[in-house]
Amino acid sequence: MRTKKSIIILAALIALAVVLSAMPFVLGAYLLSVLILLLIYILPAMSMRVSLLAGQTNIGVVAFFAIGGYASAILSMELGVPVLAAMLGGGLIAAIVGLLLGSMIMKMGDLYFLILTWGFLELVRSVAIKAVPLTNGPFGLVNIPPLSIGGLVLSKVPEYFFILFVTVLVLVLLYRVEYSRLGLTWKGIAQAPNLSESVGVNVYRFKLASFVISCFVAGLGGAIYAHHMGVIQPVMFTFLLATTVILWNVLGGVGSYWGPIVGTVFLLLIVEPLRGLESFEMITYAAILIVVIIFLPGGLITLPKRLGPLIKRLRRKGETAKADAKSGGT
Amino acid sequence: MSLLLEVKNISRSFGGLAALSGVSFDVSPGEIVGVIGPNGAGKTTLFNVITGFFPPKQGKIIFDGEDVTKFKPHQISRRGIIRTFQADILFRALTVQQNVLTGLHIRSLGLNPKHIFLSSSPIPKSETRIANEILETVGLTPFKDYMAGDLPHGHQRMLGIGVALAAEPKLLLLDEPVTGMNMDEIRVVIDLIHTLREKGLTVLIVEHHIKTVMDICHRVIVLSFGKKIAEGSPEEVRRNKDVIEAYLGTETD
Amino acid sequence: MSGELFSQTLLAGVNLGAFYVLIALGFTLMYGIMGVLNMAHGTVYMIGAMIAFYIYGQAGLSFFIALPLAMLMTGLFGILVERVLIRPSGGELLQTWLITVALWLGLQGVAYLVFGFIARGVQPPITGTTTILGLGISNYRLLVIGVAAVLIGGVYYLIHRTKIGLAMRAVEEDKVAATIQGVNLNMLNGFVFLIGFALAAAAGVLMAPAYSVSPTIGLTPLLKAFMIVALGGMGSVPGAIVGGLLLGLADSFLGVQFGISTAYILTWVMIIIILIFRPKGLMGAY
Repeated sequence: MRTKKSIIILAALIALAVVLSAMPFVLGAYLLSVLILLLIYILPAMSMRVSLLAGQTNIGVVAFFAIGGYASAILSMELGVPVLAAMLGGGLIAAIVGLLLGSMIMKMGDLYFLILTWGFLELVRSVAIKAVPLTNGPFGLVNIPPLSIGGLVLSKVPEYFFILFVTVLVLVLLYRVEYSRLGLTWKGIAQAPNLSESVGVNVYRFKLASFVISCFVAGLGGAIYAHHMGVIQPVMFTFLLATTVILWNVLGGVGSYWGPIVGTVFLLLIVEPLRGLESFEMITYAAILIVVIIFLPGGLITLPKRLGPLIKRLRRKGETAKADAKSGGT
Repeated sequence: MSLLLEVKNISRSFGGLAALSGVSFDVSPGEIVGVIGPNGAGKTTLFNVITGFFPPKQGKIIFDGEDVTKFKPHQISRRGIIRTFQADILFRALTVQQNVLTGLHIRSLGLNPKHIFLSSSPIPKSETRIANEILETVGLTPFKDYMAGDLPHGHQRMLGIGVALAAEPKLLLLDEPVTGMNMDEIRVVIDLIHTLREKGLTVLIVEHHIKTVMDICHRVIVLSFGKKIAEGSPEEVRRNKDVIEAYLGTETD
Repeated sequence: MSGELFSQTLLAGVNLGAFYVLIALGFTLMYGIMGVLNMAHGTVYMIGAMIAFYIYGQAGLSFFIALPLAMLMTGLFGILVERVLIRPSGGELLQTWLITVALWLGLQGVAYLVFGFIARGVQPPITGTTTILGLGISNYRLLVIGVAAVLIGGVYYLIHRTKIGLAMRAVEEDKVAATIQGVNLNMLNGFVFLIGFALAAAAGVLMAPAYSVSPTIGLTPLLKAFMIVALGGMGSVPGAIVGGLLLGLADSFLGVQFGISTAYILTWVMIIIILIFRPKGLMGAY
């Protein structure tokens, strides 16, 4: 049974790999850029999951996304750091800021943690607008160097594969972490922190670690975003985007590793046609969020489980109908 | 014989109410000591103080010669004092096996990044094996893959004990382990405690179920309104006038 | 700072404080009594302002009809929201928080559709100044402070001198005990939303002439509400009043000294520092 399941999953993943590899040759430029955005957005989506695993809601993911982007842009533009290193630097700087912020506010309790990580986005945006010498204020940084490896600028197709590679790599690493003892410890902390303490877990340190890793992944995503877009401005990092990150997790399902991925894909598919129509975007988000929370609290991931009994019932009805028909016919 | 645990003059108040005043006693290695007393006597508060969840206003806790009074709970756990909880505190959304696995935290090698990213199984196989052994000991093997939250009450208590055992305690603090269990389950727990004692474990147990306490404890300490009012063998305590008075009007068995 | 500038800044600070308290009161009541962190609170303020715009600004009805009307309409809307959105969302902090986020998004999106993106203004209901102690104070500002004081006093009276206020305080302390005593939680929750929404809408109506009306004006009051309630203590009514006044004064004085955006950053930093040393806020018990 177990090997059958693993073979199916393996086959699915290989199929997915083939499809994704074919994309740049099949899709037009616009759709390809949407796909790239999707891949980049998976990073902040998963970064929020990392903090959720330990029972914390890092609403400020977008703030660290922004910090990573700005840091990487500044490193590569002002200090001439090669783009790859700048990207990692962006992630690291986001992680360090996260470490400082986290250690300050984590002891204040879950409620204040929620409020202050959310307010932190405001703070980051205000600083970005005010710190003109560093960030060029509201106009932001332009002409950010595009992604390049060893000085060789990546054109459309290689850029896609690079971003695909980084996203998949991060996903694999996060998968390993979630199913390791680290992930188990986090899940324990989320459910019963006192019990965790009583078996020797330093709850504070583990929660802080989850927060910092979450900030790193978000920052890394932001760095890739900055170099891909070529531009970074404070106005890109709105509360709407912050809510969207939450929505990716909630819509997909907070109980599963695949939740954020499902949520991101699904939401982008729904919202993409509404790009630019901000009011409709907001109303759609609101409706989806309300429907999911009230009617599908586990997220889309739980849909197969819920449909399962329904399908079984339908199948059984079909079989009894067939049996009736047979016996009736003779 | 050196003392394993020394509780010296512990006092702890909540608001104006003195939950514990001047409680002192010792526990020697290999003993099974019971703590009884009417509701509100401060028994669970005592456990919370010993295990670092609340700091005492006054007094000291000395474990294995070390002053652990100001330690945080996880530091105390690392020293070898492991407790269970009175309320059904479990990792409800994890499986029974995963619950026990968490107890192995202190001695786990699984947090090494090399192991997380490079080994063939994210959770070390040796740890899974130990978890299964513990499940066997507490009789929960058939429920290995059930969600902890789905277990019946008595099994949840057993699982709590299993998790505590996984942490390799030198001193095990059981907070009302048999409350809500039927007689068969209680028998299992009593046998388990005897077996563990033979392996060298020291146990401090809070219980309302007087029969259990009388059955397994070498010594009993009685608390009432935060003060220690008696200490001695189960027989001595049972006959003690102050103890009887403290329990007058209260359900005992 | 000159005496004249000082007193004007002080007055502006009291004005701001009154406005902030109206917003923070509903917000803190919802959290303290129901555990709901209402992210849509700013949008309710915005709706109040919009109602003022349409009823008073466009249709020409008296300001003093628009105010209670707006409060009534949003109050009823609050009861509806509690029944249809908050109650079914399950009791957890995160789920209800997300529902209020959805409400925020939805209301703002609808406001964009109905009102548009461009801000528009409303005239103050009264003009001119009154001279008190040699100081020229705008009548409109006096009106705002006066009405706010009455509303705040009304809420204080409600909480401390009425039966339903007693029920609210009881639930805030111990929900289970209160229900055993016979408090009907469902009705009480609806009532809390009624009051919270009505107060926020009142603030929206009162301040509409001072700031322009647009779908996005709700964000700042929401952030202020957060800051005040964090500062004064989550769930604490006196905390909301004291915190609101303090923040209003701080915003006014710091704003005059350093400019609004710097003042904003400064107040955030101040609050974080206070929270580090007094994690429950200045007056809170949570």
